[in-house]
Amino acid sequence: MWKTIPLLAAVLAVAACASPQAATPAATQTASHALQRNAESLQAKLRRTPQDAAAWAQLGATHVELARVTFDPQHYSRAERALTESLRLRPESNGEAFIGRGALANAKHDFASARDWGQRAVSALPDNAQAQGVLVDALTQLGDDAGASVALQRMLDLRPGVASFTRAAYHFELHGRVDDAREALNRALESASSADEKDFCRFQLDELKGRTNEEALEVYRGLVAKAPSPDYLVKYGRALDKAGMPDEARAQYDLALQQLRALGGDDLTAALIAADHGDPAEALRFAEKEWAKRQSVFTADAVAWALQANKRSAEALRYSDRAVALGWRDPEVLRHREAILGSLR
Amino acid sequence: MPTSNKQRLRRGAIAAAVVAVAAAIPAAQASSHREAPLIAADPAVDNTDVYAFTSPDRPDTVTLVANWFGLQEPNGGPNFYPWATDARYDLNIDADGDAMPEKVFRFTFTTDDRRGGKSPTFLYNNGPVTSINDDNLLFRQNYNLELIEGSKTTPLVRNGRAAPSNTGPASFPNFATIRDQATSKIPGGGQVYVGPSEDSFFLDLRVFDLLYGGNLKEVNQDTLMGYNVNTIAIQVPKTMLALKGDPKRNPVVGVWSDTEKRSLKLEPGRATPQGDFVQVSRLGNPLVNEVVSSAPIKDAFNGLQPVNDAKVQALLDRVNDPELARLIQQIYGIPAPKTPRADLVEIFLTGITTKAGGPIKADLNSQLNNADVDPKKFAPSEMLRLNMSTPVTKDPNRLGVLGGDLQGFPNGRRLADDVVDIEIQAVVGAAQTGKLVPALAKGDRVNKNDVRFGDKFPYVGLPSNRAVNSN
Amino acid sequence: MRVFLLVVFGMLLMGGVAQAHPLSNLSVNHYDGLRVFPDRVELRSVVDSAEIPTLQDRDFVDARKRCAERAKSLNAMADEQELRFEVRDADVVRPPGEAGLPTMRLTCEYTAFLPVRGEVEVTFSDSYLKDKPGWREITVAGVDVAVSGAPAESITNELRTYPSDLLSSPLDVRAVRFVAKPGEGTVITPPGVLGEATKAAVGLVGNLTPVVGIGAVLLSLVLGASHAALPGHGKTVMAAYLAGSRGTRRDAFLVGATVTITHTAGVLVLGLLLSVSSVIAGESVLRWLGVASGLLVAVIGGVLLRSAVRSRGRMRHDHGHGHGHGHGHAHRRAGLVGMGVAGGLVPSPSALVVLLGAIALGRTWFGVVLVFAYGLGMAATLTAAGLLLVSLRDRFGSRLARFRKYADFTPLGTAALVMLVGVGLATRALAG
Repeated sequence: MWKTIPLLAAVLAVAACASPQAATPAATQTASHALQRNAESLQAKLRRTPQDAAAWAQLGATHVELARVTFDPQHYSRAERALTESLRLRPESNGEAFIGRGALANAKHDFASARDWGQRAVSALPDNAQAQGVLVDALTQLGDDAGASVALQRMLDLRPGVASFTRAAYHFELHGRVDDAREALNRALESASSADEKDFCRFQLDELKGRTNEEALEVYRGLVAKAPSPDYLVKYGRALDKAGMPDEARAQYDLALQQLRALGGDDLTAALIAADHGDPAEALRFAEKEWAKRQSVFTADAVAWALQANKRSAEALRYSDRAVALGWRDPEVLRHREAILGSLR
Repeated sequence: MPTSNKQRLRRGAIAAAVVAVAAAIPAAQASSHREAPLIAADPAVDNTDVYAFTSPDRPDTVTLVANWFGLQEPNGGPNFYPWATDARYDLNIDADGDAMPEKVFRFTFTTDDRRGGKSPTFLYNNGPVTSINDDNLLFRQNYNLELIEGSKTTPLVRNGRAAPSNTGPASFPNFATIRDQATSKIPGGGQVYVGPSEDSFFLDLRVFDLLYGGNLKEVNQDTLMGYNVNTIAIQVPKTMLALKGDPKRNPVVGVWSDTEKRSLKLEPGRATPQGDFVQVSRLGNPLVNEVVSSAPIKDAFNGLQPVNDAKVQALLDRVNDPELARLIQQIYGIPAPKTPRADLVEIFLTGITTKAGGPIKADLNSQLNNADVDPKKFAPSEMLRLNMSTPVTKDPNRLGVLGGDLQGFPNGRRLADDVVDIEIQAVVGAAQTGKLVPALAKGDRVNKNDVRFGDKFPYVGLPSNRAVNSN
Repeated sequence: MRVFLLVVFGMLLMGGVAQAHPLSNLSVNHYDGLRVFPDRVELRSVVDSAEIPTLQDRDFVDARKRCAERAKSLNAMADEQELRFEVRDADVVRPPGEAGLPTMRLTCEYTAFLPVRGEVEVTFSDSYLKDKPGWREITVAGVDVAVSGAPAESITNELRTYPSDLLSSPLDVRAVRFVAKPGEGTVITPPGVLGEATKAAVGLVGNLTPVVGIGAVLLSLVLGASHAALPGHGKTVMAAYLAGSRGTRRDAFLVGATVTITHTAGVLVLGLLLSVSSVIAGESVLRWLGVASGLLVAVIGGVLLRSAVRSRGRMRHDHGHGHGHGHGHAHRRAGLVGMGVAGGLVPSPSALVVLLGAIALGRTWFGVVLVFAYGLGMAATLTAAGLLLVSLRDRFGSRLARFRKYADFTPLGTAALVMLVGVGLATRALAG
């Protein structure tokens, strides 16, 4: 609307003349926690020494963590820029920036490129646990269970701590070893030094334990209010369904689908939602697209369920077999499997 | 104003670029793949400093101080800083110079949590705590101290009480009492304190940012002022540490601390996924990561046993040709001394001695100077080396040996030694020439700790109980 | 010419495509602008929801109701006394965001009673949707009241632009504490883009020497002329009309004069309204004027179309041309005036800025002069363009004689085009 050039020129002139303002005035309160403080101290450091490639890399990695903790995706673009700056300053053997890049790629579900960054990070910093962690996440999602296990064991032996214990818990869970997973999470909880790490561990422990319906409703309502990501919307929807509020539930599924259709994102989640609450053909399209990228237990389950939605149960079973091959006993995965087996009987 | 104009305009351009980048990122971020923490720190097991000195008030004993869990903010809130219970906190003594510890003082912890299940994260204490056994103290930690000598393990303290985190004046009206109560006797004439203290280290952390690309003008602020650490302080007779129990013949001991944490085994088929203890942190000489080590070898160094130090060429290279010297040359034009730096090898890896062919013509603190050491078994390694026979200096010089005070760093380390300035001087060659480099004489311009040290055990400052930002 | 017009038309439509939300499609951003008067506090509270929270927000009924709910999460104390914010006005716009999804910008205007007789300490906090990620900003300005302790100006321009310096953290201000006492206030500037630009004008008008004065008038002329030279609004339509119909040089002047008068009047009225009351959100008024202007053009197009169809039908019967001339004359003149009105109806923001700046400095009359000069500049460009087109047509008209049968279609085509452009303009204004 305001596209007149003279106005723009005037505004630019004003902007240029205006005295610079501090971003955080003294009299204001700022929410803070450990990661935010970490970011701020790195920013302070970089104001003094903007050529510090390592600090830019750490700032980038911190933003990736902040995005995870705050659900605020603007941290991804900040991470991206900080890492780009780090790599501009030091393009070669910049292990810390490779780690950040890998973490960012994992967060954006670009697992193949996360694996590549992870491998570069490992060769630059062979004894670094975070580099292994990037690799663990990527390989797990790409379906390379053996590779992921090796990297994870190495990570555990380099740094037994929150990062490696929580990953071990996931590994155990995918292999159907729920007790070991709980044990690993308890150890992670003990090693946790910040509130968000503790929250993560407690949340996962509750997920393992299973929630009563009231608990589930409350937890997911809270999460959806914070970050209406498709995944949480579906879980919230499921809780609403169980609580006898199908209309409310439907609204959550619709919102998730609408989001995924319009804005793209995770085809795996899209496939599962579409299979249950949308168009079966669309579900299969999503699932096959993701399967082409990675053949993991997650995508196997999605393809199986999408095939089942298309009444192709015999084919679905083959994929369902793969989904549980490691021993994964996720209630949803089992529900899919039972339905497939049921229609073959 | 012109620079700020430019900045503003550039910011606008960047903003436009960001819009483009932000738009490219998909919305659905949190989702099916579990995003676990990646850069989680583990401060509870991270060594920050080690000190070793002849006790000034009891010169027949040596005091060792090791700190973990740096940068504790004593803000009186629900924050407290427990010791890890799945870890071993070790103080290692190598008196025969083979880079392997003959004696290990090992501390392990258990938690006694009396808060009940209702609100597991809240309320460290339930009202003011006036003694270590006060019922109001709800979260307690106890420790066992063992002395490990080869295959022999001797328990020294069973169920010792660690002093709690200082959560503020309302909760702990008199922390000194609590600290006294948390100090235990060791059989054979020693004592030990486990609990928080004000961080004894004083420096302007920014000095390292600046050396790596800035200037020294901005420094002079104790970055660690007001922060606490978890401290283990142990005072033992010199006879307990010396080789063959004879500090006269064998006055030199090497000291370092490390933390081992229990790993976890993934391989299927085991009853419990418990793993071995792995070394996750190690510390001897101060600032070794900043001055000597570097990012690529930092991780390796933390897991490395001293006995293997000499096999890691990257580490030896860093000592022989420290980046810091070259940086100082670039920034200040102070020529970097010729490499390889045999003087630094003496300071960090062998101890100062004439018996290893080094350039510093003094016999100060190498195990090679112990009468009963077999030089053939001597292995260079990074550790803090203390000559226990050096008499206590009445008026200590903050620059230690470089300042003509032989009792100070690098001959062991006292709480008040200004190790930042000493190491910067050493890196530009002061130990070799015997002369301080005037251009750097002021160093980081933080010359003493903000809290006075005590004159009796455990010497360290009482933990601060005021929020750092309220100072 | 037609190709040119089509290109211009395309550009007009393209201009309406909104950019992606500046932060992320998950964020909800908050801005609270407090203005402390001697007897009251006014609060402008903006909530800028990105695509996903907008989709998620299914309970929204109307802005006023939402603003009343929102007031519950505002907490303000003035020396132990709680302030109660009453909704004075509420507005919501839904600019399209990424992938055509709507976003939502809710603006609530509140008033709270607060007499500032002596020094008073005020705390203000906003906990609306406190869990959602997003920017949070609070500013405090005084009007005949001195305030200190909080920033006076929005660095996000009330959530329109977001500073993106990597070395400063995103703003997350949820509470402020400030002291207000009788005294000189913060310079009153309307918030937003207008406010920013007004400051430029203030700079221009502030130190009024004869040289600066003449310079300012000349600058306004140039600004007006260049504004008119840009594609947009009714200008192109007018050009098309003059070219297509049998416009005369007098017609070109007529259009120029109409534009100048309408524009000057429009700016004056809107400017005075804006400076008197902050209730009227400048942007929404401009939007409705845009819609009105578009509709006016469309209506004119319709009228022209009708007359063109009729006259063409008559030509077929009469096997001649010339009869229809007199018939369409009154229509055409009215059409031209209408076109001029449409062209001048949407006040140019830069002209508004100049006027508001002058008013803020107590030099209203000088501001009016500047706006008039601005309108004259616009008129000059438009008239010049019209004259150029008319003379071009006259010069090359005869060569085009053999294309007569196409020329017969020209009035029809232009009329249709005029109507289309009008509809396009109106739609674009509505969508924006």
